[in-house]
Amino acid sequence: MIDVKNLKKSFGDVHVLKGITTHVNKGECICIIGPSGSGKSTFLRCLNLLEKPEEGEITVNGQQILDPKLDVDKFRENVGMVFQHFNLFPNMTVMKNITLAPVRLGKWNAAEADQKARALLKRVGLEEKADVYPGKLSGGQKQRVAIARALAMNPQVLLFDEPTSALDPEMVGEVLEVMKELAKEGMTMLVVTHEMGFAREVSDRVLFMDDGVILEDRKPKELFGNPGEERTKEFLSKVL
Amino acid sequence: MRRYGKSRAFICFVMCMIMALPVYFSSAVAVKAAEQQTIIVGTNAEYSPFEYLDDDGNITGFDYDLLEAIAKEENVKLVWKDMPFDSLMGSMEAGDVQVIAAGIGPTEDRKKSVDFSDVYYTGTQCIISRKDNPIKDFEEMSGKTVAVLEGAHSDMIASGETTDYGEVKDAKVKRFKNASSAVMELKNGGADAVLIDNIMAEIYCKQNSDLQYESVPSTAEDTVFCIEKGNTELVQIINDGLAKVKKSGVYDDLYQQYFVDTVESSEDVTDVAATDGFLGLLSFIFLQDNRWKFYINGLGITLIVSLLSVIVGILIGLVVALVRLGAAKKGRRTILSTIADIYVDVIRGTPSVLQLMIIYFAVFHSRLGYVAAVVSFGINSGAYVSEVIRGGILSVDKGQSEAGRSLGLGYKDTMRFIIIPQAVKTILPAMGNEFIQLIKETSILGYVGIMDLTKAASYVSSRTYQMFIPLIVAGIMYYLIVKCLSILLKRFERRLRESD
Repeated sequence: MIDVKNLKKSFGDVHVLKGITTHVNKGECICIIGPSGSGKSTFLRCLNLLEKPEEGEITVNGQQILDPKLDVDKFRENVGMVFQHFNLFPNMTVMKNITLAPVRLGKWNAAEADQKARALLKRVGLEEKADVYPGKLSGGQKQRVAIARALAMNPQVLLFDEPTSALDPEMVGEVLEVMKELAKEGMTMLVVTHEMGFAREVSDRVLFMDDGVILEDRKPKELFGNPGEERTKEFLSKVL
Repeated sequence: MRRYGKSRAFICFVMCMIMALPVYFSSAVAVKAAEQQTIIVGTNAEYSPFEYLDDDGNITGFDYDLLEAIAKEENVKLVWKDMPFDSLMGSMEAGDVQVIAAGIGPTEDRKKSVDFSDVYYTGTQCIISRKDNPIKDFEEMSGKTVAVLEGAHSDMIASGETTDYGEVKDAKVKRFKNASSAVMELKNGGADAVLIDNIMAEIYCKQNSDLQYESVPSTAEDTVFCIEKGNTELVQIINDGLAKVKKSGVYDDLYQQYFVDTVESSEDVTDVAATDGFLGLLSFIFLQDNRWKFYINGLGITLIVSLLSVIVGILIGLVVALVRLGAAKKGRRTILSTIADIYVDVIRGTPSVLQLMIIYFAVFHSRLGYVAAVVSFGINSGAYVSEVIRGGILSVDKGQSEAGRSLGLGYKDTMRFIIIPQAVKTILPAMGNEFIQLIKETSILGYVGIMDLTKAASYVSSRTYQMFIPLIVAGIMYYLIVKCLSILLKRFERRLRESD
């Protein structure tokens, strides 16, 4: 479904991605782990063109997304993203946060929007918060709304950029629970995370990134049980 | 691409509107001229009794009534333009006025650029001085500080530019925009003498018992109307009319009314405070001749011009800010963004007085004073507002636009639904501040002859020879308005913050 070849990206003189090649199948849940500064988030952001890579190829469903002629907005409708800092729109209610894009872009008509949004909120367990402003929500609730918002566009892939890193520890669980459900339902997901438990338990594959490259790409049991690289071992010993 | 296409079209539209305005109105004037010949007359209504504003703010005076009487005889229509004295010649050269009626003498210098009518009044220059420091002639005036009207005949004499009427050696010349300011300077000790027309000297000395005047016979000088160079037809019309008016006795009536009666009816106002007490002084300044009306009207004009300007400023500022942000987002400059950059840079780097005068005199050709003022202050304010809006938009967290864009919303939608509504919370209070700022900034409207609050105060001051009270009252009015608005704005800001 997603095919990445030799992806390179630098900020000024700093080479953040030094050639990433990987493949994501439909329905897979892939976790990307690694030390900070290894390029995990940048890689993820390249996949929906929030960052523009300098070199390489990304193919999504057979479409070359680095083609300058690509309708970026149209493409992004199919790739949802959940941010570390939620990025809910504070000037709108939870309901409006969810319905804005699908109604505006013609995915939902105004009449059904309310009902569909409520269904999504129910899925993340927040149906009673529909008319509340984001400022009144806890971190965990905010992130669940953000997930519902991303789901509203009915994307083919969901990208999670450290979705639990900004949360108080007691709220991490509720968010991971929602993500686990999604994975179970067969959503294609790429998750940059420091939650090793989630990676081990839920993901189909784990990518270990270091210094702009993917060092290991293996099933979670193998990677956590028997890391192949010295760097991986060192990293795991620190975080586990 | 569509976005830029649209905003470019909008800017072109606005520019066309601005440029078309003067054209439109000049053609409107031309159409009227076909029905009955309309002549635009320039004057400077600060030269009582020749030309000044009456209690309702309309131009009146000897020159005004005389020329109107002439116009009636010749069946032409006059449109009067009040402007600073030193703008009169320029306006005529620019073709904005066809006649100047401002007590002007027929000098050789002026003859090069305008034609003259027959002489309608002959006066002499007089030296006004304080009784405790009398100055009798040009010889005694040498080396002294002399107050004059900027660009007037007396200015030429005192500055030594013309010696045809006698020589003043090494005088330090202080130039004023109106006669009463010059007299005030003398009374305050800032000048040793005022050189001025005899009628004015008579009136001022009658009103101020501490002053005296001495006329200088060698300066006997004619007064004429100036007519645009080469318009012999118009010279003929005015001369014919003048002859008729003199014959019919209207001229003599006006002479009696403005010169003899005015001098006789002038009261000594030197010591109103001493004779009538403080309340008497206040009543003299504000109640007599309903002078308080000037303040109310002036305040209204100040507020309306400020409010309209800030609205124009917001519209311009929004467009400019979006153009500049768009270019910054793309990482390269466009023709539009370069224009926007230059606009902000130039407007912020030049005084608003100059901007106002350039727009009023050069672009609007002294027409539509209020529109010119709103356009000028709007353009001025737009530069500042655009920076406020830009700052407000940039202050919205980058994650907000990323979230919008990652949902598939375009740049426009993201701006409209997500970024701008959030930016407005920082921008709105700043807009209020801009309005408050403009209330004070517009105090320069007097430069283009608009009676705003400051100009009203200075006018009342010039009519009453009181410097302190008329100006301080205007100051208090400004302060109270600004204070009230600031308090309202603070409350509004607090409410905005609470809604977060």
